[in-house]
Amino acid sequence: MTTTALVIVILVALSFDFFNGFHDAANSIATVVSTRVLSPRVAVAWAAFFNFVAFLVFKTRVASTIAKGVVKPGVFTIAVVFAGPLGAIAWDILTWYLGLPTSSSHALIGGMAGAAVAKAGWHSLLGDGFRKIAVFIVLSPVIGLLLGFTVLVVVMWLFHRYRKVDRLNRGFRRMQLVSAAAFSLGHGGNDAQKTMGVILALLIAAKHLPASANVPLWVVLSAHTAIGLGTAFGGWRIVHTMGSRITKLQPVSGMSAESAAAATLFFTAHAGIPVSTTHTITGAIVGVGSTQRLSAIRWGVAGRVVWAWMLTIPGAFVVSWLAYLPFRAAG
Amino acid sequence: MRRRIGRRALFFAVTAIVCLALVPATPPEFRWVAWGTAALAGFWALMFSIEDVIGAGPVEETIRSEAIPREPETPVAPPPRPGRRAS
Repeated sequence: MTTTALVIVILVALSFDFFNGFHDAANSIATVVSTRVLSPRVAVAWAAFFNFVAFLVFKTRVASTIAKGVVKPGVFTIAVVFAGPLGAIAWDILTWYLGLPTSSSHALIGGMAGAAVAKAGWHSLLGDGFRKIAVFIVLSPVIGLLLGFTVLVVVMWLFHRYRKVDRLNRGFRRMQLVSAAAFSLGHGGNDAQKTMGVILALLIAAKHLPASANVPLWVVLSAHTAIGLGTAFGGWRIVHTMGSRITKLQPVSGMSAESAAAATLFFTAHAGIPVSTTHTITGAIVGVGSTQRLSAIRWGVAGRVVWAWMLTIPGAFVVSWLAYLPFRAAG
Repeated sequence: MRRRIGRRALFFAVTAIVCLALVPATPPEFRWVAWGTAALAGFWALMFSIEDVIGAGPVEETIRSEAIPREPETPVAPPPRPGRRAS
């Protein structure tokens, strides 16, 4: 029974990872396809590949934060770890249906917290861990914004007298391959680790691993495979609509935004801070757009990010809290 | 003629204030990040303020380069048509 429950929860967690890659695929491929640096098919494969190999670049610090830095040791049980992602998935579906902004990453954190509080009360949460995550919910898109703006301004200063336009654009297109790969690495390194953290917490709760254990290799590989497949399937789905929806983007701007977002994600993955990759790239694109004029920015997009900050963690918290109640009633 | 501080300077100033407000809540080992982002935002607020006050005009008008096209990018809206007032 315990083994069956374990397998079911692991599959739920990996499904969460797959759908995370699925609906974030556009972030990874939109710029390189819009600038025609890569064809849509190659762009999907490019992003999925770098999502997968991110495990070779990053340590599992984000996973450790999820498994050990949000909820006190000993609070996690199979039921709590099941209710957490379940609540996050339910919150994602609810917000999709209602058209509300959300962040899957924040929903997972809120969900884990809600289930833990339903089991063991408010003192089951680790204040320092939550503080770190809450601060970087705001800081990560701001860092992306400031870096995106700064990178593009510096590039414009360096090259504004350069007259060989074709050669310059060829150079930026090549650099965009690198920046797109770096962004996909950061995406895989940050988002796959959230699922790894959930599975690690589950294995510790089920006494398959000691509390001090690191993430096993099979968990690392399965999480990165799930997010890579999600990116591949999600990117493939939007390939057919991409021509009609993506507005023209210049290689220099795409390169600047992706580089800024990638740098932010690299830092947060290294520091063990789970952040929203969607919000980070949105901040970077707003920063790049700010080099022209503020009135040209679609502030509705930025506004949705702010609403997601306020709604996601409390909303997922409540849904997971409710999802755990049947387990508490069953004893 | 008195120059007004433009919206970009105010935008970056507000961003700097938001980052400074986060400093007390930030764990000590990461406070340098909040300070750094506040400093960078403050730097750009100051640069744009100086530019607005001395009347040099926005940055994109002094850089005349065919290599850096001025077409808008996602999620930036397309430029207004000639003769229409920008929103």
